[in-house]
Amino acid sequence: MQKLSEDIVLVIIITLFILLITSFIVIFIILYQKRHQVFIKEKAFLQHQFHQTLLQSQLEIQEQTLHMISQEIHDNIGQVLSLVKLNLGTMDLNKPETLQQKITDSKELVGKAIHDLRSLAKGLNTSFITEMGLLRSIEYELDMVGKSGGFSTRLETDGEPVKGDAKIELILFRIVQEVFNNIIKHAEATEVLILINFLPGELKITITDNGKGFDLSFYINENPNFGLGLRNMQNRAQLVGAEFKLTSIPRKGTTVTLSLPFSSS
Amino acid sequence: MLNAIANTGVYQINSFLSLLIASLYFGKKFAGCRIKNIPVIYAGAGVTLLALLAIIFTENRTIFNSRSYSYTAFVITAYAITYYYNKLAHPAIAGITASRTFWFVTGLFFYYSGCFIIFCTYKLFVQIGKGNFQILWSIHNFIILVMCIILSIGFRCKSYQKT
Repeated sequence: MQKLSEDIVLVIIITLFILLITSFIVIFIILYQKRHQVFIKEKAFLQHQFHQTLLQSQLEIQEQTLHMISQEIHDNIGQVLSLVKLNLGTMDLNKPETLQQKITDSKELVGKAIHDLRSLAKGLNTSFITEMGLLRSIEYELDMVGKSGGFSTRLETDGEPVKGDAKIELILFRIVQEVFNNIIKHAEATEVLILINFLPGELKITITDNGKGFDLSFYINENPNFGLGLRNMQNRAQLVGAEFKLTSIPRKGTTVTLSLPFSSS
Repeated sequence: MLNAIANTGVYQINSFLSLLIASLYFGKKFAGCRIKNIPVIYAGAGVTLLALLAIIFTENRTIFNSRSYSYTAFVITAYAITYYYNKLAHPAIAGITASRTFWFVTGLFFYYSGCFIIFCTYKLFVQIGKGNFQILWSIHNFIILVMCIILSIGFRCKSYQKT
């Protein structure tokens, strides 16, 4: 009898223990499902935020491109055609010696306008850039910069050039174009050096000028447009997973570095 | 006498191999997880295996002693609880009850935690001369049956579930 009661107590204890383990497992499943729901909501929120940021960046890039086109047309092509109009307006048929000179000047100016328009079109033509590839596109653009602004330019490459994803190359090219535009407009430089490193699984582009440089923190705080341009370049770099760094020392020039994981497409 | 030593030896090998295989299994599961102290866990697993060997070599070979079993049960239960903690910390899988690994771990957890008390108390009952240890093994067999049912549920789940 005593043995029976001891057995019963033992069975009850072990049964309770087994029930405890089973409860633990059930509670785990319930807790897990609740946490999973929270996890899914957080993931959806982060994805939504990312898409918003991406869309905003794309819109800013579009605005910037249109702004650049309008500036280019106004500053260069518009000015040249205005000069041609001025020449045509001041032509005097009774003075053949000046007439010939004015016609010659006008022809040169129209030729320059056509050349500038073609360069602008090529620079904006995505398929042209995609066909040439990143390296040749940068080489071409650097050549244009050298000819237009009287700069001494140099392009150096290190490593075996690799052709990457067309979209990534296009975005990188646009960033480099933007840097060139800033050098032409603001840097007052005489030399521009580009170094492109094709490392295993990585690409590094370094653009250095010997211009007047600037105090980076001062310009970001005082000039919102400057900060906007810098932010646009950073946003574009982020789109392709690139790291964008800008360093500048007043009177000593500016260096822009782009580095990202890069492999053959 | 020789039979007793041979059987006892087999039981001890069983407890050691159970711990080794469980350590490898859980090590593979934890390798893909974001638990911070993975090297500590691996080091701990190594230490526990060595401790188990020490227990085995100090046990009396002529009489069955469940110390090594209770030690193995304790460690595997700890592995299972770590698995559950990791899943709660990173609940990325939709429908964990459809995951094969969950059922395997639950089966192991159920068996080893349920039998831990049995393994711990078996030697005590033998020493005090109680006859209750016979019913303990009946309960142990019942727990094995439940574990097999849980493992069979796991085998029916699809293997491509990321766990």
